[in-house]
Amino acid sequence: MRKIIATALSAVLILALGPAPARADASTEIQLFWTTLAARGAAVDVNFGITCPVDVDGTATVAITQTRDDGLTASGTGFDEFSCRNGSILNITRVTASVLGAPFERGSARLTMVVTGAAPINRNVRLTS
Amino acid sequence: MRRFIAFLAVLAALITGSALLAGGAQADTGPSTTRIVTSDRAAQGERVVVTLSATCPAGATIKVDVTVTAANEDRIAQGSRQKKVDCTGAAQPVELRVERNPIGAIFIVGQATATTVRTVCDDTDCDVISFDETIRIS
Repeated sequence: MRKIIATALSAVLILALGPAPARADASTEIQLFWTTLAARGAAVDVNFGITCPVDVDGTATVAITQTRDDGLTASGTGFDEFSCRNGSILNITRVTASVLGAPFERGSARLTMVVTGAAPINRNVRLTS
Repeated sequence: MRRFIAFLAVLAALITGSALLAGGAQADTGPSTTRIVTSDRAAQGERVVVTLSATCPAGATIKVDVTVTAANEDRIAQGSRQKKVDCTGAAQPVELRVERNPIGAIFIVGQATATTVRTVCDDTDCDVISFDETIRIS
């Protein structure tokens, strides 16, 4: 009996405290492929795929922040419009470095991405040449 | 492994192709394109003189807003300039003197990134299209 109660309580706790589904009402999915440096670190090209079960016109907004090896901060944002037809598209959004910061360099960085109809992405990425 | 490499190659080609095609677009006001042809450093790096080739339907107007961003050691050089011209229907040169933002560094010779936002308007409508490209400041 105790086991049953404990199991039931655990189930309730997991349901109550567990993370909500990331894509509760989102039908569009994002696959992040590469983040590559451009123009000597003045920009980063974010390569990604959009899967859309239904045709969608929307926008992609990307922000990248990096603490460089020398301690300086590089950051920037990029914005793109897209039309997803026939299930999926490939896209590149260029993130341009802020004039207030340093150029991007190879290494890890934090990427935040908001795409119409998809769950926001917030994760560490590796900037490559 | 070979299949995976081939898949990556195809993927890269598709992405590159779509990026290159982005310079031209069919919009309500008709097809238009912009492409930066030259970018020359001037006034000891205080500015970059950009010449772009613009194509838009005769009778329409095009406003181009160009932002040049470049790395200069551990700082960023950046500047913007806009210009409006009447469309001829053929490719036409547009020259812009892009002054640097004094908050940032001066421009140096080498690679940079340029964002061109063009607004093409005819009697009934306006289209706004943004295009990024890597350029070389000479």
